[in-house]
Amino acid sequence: MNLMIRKLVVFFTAFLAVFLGAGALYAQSAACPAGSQLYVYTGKPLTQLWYDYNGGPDPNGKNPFKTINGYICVPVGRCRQFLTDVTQLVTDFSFSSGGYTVSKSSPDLTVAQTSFYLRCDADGNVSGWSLQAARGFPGTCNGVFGFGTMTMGGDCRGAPSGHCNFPYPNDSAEASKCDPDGKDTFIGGASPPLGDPGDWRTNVECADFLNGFVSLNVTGPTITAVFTPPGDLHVAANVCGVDHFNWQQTINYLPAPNSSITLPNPPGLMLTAPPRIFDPAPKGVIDYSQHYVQCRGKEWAVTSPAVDLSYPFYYSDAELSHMATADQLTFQDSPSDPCMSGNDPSGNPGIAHTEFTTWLVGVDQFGLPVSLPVLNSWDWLSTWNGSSGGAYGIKNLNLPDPGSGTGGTTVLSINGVPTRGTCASNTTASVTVKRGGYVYSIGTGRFTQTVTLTNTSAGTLNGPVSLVLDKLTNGVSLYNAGGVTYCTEPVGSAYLSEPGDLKSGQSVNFTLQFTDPTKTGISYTPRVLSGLGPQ
Amino acid sequence: MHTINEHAGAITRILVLLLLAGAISRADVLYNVTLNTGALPAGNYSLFFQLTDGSGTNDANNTVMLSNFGFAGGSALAPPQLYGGAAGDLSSSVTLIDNSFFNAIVQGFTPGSQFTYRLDLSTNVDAGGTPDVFAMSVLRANGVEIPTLDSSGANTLLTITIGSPLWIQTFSADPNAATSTGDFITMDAPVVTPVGPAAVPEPSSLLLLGSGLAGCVRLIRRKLNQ
Repeated sequence: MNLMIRKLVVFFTAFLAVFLGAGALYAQSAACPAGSQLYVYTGKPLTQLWYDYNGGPDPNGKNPFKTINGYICVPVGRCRQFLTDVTQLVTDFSFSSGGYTVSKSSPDLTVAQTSFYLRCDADGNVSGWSLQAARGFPGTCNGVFGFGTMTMGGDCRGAPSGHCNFPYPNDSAEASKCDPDGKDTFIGGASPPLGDPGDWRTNVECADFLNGFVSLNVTGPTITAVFTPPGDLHVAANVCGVDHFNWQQTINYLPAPNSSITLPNPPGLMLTAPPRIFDPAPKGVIDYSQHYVQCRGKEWAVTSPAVDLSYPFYYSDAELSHMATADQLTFQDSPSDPCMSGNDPSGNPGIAHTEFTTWLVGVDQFGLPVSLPVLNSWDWLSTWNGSSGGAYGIKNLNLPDPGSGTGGTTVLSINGVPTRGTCASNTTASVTVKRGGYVYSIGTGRFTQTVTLTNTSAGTLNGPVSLVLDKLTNGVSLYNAGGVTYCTEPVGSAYLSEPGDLKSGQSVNFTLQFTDPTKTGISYTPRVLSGLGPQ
Repeated sequence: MHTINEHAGAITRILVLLLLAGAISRADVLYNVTLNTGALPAGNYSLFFQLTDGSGTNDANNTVMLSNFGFAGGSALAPPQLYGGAAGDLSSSVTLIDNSFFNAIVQGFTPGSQFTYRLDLSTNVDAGGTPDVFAMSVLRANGVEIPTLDSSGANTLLTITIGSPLWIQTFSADPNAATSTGDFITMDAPVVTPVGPAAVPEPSSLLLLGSGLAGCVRLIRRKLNQ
């Protein structure tokens, strides 16, 4: 037994010596300068740290891996500079890579430990990296406990060492390329806890920090989204080449009447959409002062908060400071309008509802929006007719006032994929569309038009049958719309529906009522949808 | 083969000429319109005539001329309100041209026993599938149409859709719908009576048609001589 213990001690001593000889590793927590090489580790907080390129453990507590935040960037020519202000811990995330990967899900599930090393050349630049895996063979290697190591990845691979070989390629030719002039120095190494090798990857891309890291939550009238990238927001921004992140939002559908008044004041115009507008609009959304709106059979006094000048983003810098931590960026909205329907948002929202599109966006150093390579966008609607924080507003940072109204919010699609089941079918090719002319009514102030659809196909078109008006003239709206499309492309087009099937040869009439304040013309492209499922 | 080519060429020329003749024809229709206004409650009303451009291009391809107004004891009240390509007034004649999307005249009148006028309407069909429309309504003094049985909700008494074929619809007042002033009005639909030929080819069209036929005859004669 004593002999066995002694063998183990010798082995671990030798094993540790390998890492100790690796020396120090340099990293920084601030944004990586251009040209820096970035390495990323994901897994449990690193515990075994190796420092001092002359060999030996970390005597001065300077090893940056002590409080690693998941990334190590090494500025060109600064390979030997100590950086100690890394503060964030990384627990569990992973991302794709074009480089070599070792993790718990690697081919060899018995990998017990992984370590990462950087090598510096004589000029102080990073000359290479390597990823080493250690594997135990209790009772399986020559009849005794064994342990082996293998350089798994990097710009060169080495030969295995220890008692037993790894079932991985042994590329001696590659190993010889590691340091042809013999001047390289292993400058650092770090390992996660034994038995939990974590996930090591290189060649990370911005998409690795965006794919699947925005979560959505709807609670009554409030919709919340949280962007929690691997590492922290700083890491993600760094990789994505932006200064920070924010949200952008458009109002795609906002019928009249509603409580939103555009600037300037006075007199202010009632805000309507389409066409879609930013939320908040370039000059703000709401009048400075109290105004009144008549809807749902009564007059509502709308007292607005201060004008919002967050355009083109959803949050101003001041608001953003409250919505972002080091780890995550939150979006929250509780739009409220006394004129909305109050319907169950998961069913038919009615004409009186508001539709939005919200998406994550990068912000460059000049404060300008930067499109990100991965879409994190969702379409949603609100029917909430109560107040939020005692006020009404499309952009509403306050929580809803309980009991002040009915309705709520619902998500319509995420990244263009409908969340409400199969959409109605496009059956435009199966019908003829005969349009009547436009007739104006002075009493209503609206133009009417009768459109007749005839089923020219051999089969029956399942109801309801909807006539969708795509590309409707700007400034013109369909007064008696049954809603706007949100499931079929293009979204945001007003439509009217007739219940029931349309048999072969059968016709159905739609009476359209348009508001055209300028009376300068109405045009649109008809589209026909049929069948159950949202339009 | 030479003969076949000659025949083909001649037929083509004839067809082209006929097509040209058809394209530039301007087929006007004439109607006398009579509206019984004797049952209207006392007071002032307005007549509302409109011509909308279906193409949305302000193509000015149709003209409506209204003339020979008769009020049978009533009278027109000046002045009219004119919109877009509208001109004239109810004391003489009115012209509506669809050189704007919305072309209309609204003018007050005091009703007599009936209101009559002559309607001269060109019938060129707009491109794009949406036709031009001529319509007539009667408004109460507050500027709101008398409710009619017009199912479109526009409350017209007469709607003429300038398509192919021409589509004339007349509607009576809706006796069961309260007007904007709270009363109920009974009024028959206007009577629209054709006057003269429905379509008159223009001289230029006849000239083109005649030229084509002459060419055809000449070709046949040449063939017979050979």
